[in-house]
Amino acid sequence: MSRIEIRGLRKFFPGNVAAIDGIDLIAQTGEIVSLLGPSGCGKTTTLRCIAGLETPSAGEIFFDDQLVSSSKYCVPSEKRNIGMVFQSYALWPHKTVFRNVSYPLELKGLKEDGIQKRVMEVLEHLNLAPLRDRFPAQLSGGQQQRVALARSLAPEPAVLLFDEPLSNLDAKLRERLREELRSILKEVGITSIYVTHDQAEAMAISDQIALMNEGRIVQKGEPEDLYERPVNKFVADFVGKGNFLTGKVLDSSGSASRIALEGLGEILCSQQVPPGGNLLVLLRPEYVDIHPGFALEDAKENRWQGRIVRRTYGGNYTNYVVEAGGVTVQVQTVKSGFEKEEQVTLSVDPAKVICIPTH
Amino acid sequence: MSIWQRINYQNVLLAALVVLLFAMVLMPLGFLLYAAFWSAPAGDPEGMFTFNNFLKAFGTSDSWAAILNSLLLGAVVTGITVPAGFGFAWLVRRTNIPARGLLNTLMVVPLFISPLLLSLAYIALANPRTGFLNLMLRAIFGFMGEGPLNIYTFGGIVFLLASHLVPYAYLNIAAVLGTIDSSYEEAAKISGASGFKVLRDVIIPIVLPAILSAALIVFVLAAEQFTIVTLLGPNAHFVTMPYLIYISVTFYPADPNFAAAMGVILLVITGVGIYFYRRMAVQAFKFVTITGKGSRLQIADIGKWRYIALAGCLVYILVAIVLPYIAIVLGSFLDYITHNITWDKFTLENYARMFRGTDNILAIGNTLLLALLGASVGVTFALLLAFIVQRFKTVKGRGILDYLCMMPISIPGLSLALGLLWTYLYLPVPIYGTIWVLLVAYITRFLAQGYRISSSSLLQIGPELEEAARVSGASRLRALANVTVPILATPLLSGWVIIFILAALEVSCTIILYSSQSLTMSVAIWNQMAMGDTVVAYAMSVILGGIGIIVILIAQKVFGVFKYV
Repeated sequence: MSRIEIRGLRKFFPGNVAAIDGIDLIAQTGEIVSLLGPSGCGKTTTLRCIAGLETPSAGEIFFDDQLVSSSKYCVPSEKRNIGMVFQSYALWPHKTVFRNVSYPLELKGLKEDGIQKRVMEVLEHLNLAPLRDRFPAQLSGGQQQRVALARSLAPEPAVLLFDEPLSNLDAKLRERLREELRSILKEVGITSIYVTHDQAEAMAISDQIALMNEGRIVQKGEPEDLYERPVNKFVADFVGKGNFLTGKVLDSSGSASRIALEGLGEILCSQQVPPGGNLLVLLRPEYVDIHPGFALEDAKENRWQGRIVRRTYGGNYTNYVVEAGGVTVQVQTVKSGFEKEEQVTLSVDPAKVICIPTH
Repeated sequence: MSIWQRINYQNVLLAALVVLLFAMVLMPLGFLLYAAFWSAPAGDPEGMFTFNNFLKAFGTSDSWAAILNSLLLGAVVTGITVPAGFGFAWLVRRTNIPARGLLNTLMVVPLFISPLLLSLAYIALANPRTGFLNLMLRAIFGFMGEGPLNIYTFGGIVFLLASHLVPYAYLNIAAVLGTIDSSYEEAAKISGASGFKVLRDVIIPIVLPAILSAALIVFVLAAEQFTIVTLLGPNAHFVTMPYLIYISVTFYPADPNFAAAMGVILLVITGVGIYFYRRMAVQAFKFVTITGKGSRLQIADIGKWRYIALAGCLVYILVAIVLPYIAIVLGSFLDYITHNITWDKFTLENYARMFRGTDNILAIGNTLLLALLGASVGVTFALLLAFIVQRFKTVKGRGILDYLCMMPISIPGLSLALGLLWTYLYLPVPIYGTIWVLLVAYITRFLAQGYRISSSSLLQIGPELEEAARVSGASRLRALANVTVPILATPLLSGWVIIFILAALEVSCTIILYSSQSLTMSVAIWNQMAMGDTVVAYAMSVILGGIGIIVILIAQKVFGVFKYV
């Protein structure tokens, strides 16, 4: 298994378009790292550089301290000992499931019985054994996806690359498969780089996420880091929904800060923020609690009066849009009983208030 | 409501078109079969049912030889053309050969150079006694007698046919090679395959159906080819079925029934070939997926070989396009063919003589009229038929319609002409011997081309736009005319141009059905060649070729129709 290190990676396309503009990333052995971002952010290009399908314009890529890619030296894909699952699966239509999976082993020069053994081992692990003699056109989307995975795992590569492998499947299947995928990858212990534009998928699958935009990494860290402690509005907005309100820090003591918030008055936040500055306060809709009427008991911190402007029932949760103090606040809650035009009280736990510095 | 108000006139019109289609395609075939099993020419009251024609076809050594020769010619030409077509397709679509765009366009041009022109040009260049190239070679290397090149050989015939048919192989194969999702190859590389193995294990198996379909179409076109084989065959002692059919109809003693029998046999050969061709062509695209992202093609870097490959392609272009054109244009301005070209030998006399003959003026007029009408009526007819097949989902038997519209492709020109000959001798429709029977022949012959373009265009834009028009109050035909046709203007126009040129250059049907009033340019050229007046034939060819080029240029420049794949 390999540790992947990317240093200062850049890639320009004709017309001076910088698809990647300086990427530094380390994936430890056995780690699953996601490259997450909107279309055009450079994540697929980065993946293809790691695969050896594109040559960098600048920077280096190392597998376990061995240089595999630089602008002057690029080990061909077929020599990198990697596996790759494509968005379209790329199963060869003229080969059976068995022959699709055995092809990399044939190329390695394994003997007949060795190939047979290894292929059946992988197929059985992924519950594909009964399909071994079918052709790709006879398989469902989920089955094709698993065959693509089997093919990439069969030669026991050092690195596994994924290019939006679940995006062609329907929502329920996607959810189920990403959990299965993570457990298989962890079981095999293989270093994986996973490209996706779906933030829920990235958070479910990864040990680390690198969120990219316009060719650069904006923030990297564990899924929780990006969700609870985003470094800027782009990150906060990409990984989840949010109420963004501008505020000015009034004062800040050891364990909390008091912030003057537009429209809502004051808010207490459990982070320590340098006083006097302006910042962006993020309230995640699922952390805003909603209570009936004028519930001002305890007169505790972080309570505001409001009126429900819109109600959208969603089954497992209900979304409300509440107008409070001149601003609109989105609330996501299991409490489905509130009606439009009803007067309500909103509250937020100071520990769940996220402060984002504005530069 | 009275019954007159109840009748939907549009449906009546469309039903009439379907009836017309059946008549146009099936009647000639029916009469051809009838003639093949009949003992006497049309109108002869002594005729009766007989197998004699087929007995003669399979019984005499001459005609057996002709049948075998046609098959042999098909096989040999296919064996040369398909690998060449594959090579060109791979080079132009998948390697970094220079000038790929230009080459892609040029590779298709030979399709529009009529085999008649090609034969004329190479007779001028490579006939053993006075061929221009031979004269030059003999002068340079100083040997006497005839040769060294001789177009009047089996090799010469194969050479010309292959040159003419390579674009068919190229188009069929390039269409698939150029759209294979590159992730198939990338996945193979990641699995450990080198460039060669990717080609062998992934690309070729996926392209194989396209290669086979190319082989089938080339085989069929070579077996049924008329002009090259008839102009060169006799001197090369190589006789094929089309030639035998032609002389059985045209020369004394005529045996039109025997010709019809041969026409049926030829039809069976081409029919079977085209049937498998169409099945292969469908297979060819099954393996190709069009991904939403748009396929990124893997371009192979062939290093220094790029220039050698380019040279190879240019040699083909030279041989198939440049040399014939130069030969004909040059020949048209010369008194006679010689390698010793000096200024005094140039003359405009050939053109003058050509225009002096009133026959030739008539021929030019007829050709233009027939091409214009053939293309206009043909495209309209094809579009309406495609419209019926695509948009009237509730009508049963649409599959049969579709099949009938494509059927003309499998009917050799000669067989069709024979069928039409008999049809209009019998039917009380007085068009035999006039320009109108030629029009019917052309519309029938080129129906499939127009239909295919209309059909795939209609398929691409879908019925929603017309449905929106209908909801706004337009009738079905109105919606077609006001909404769909303007959108499809470009592909329809390119179909029009293709049919125009094919009609202007048509020989095999015309040669059987023409009369002195319905003379066309290609027949006039043919007759000039037969009379030995080759230089005037060149002048006419230049005019004919020029008309084609002008039409293509007008289409490109004025209407922005990009003609090539």
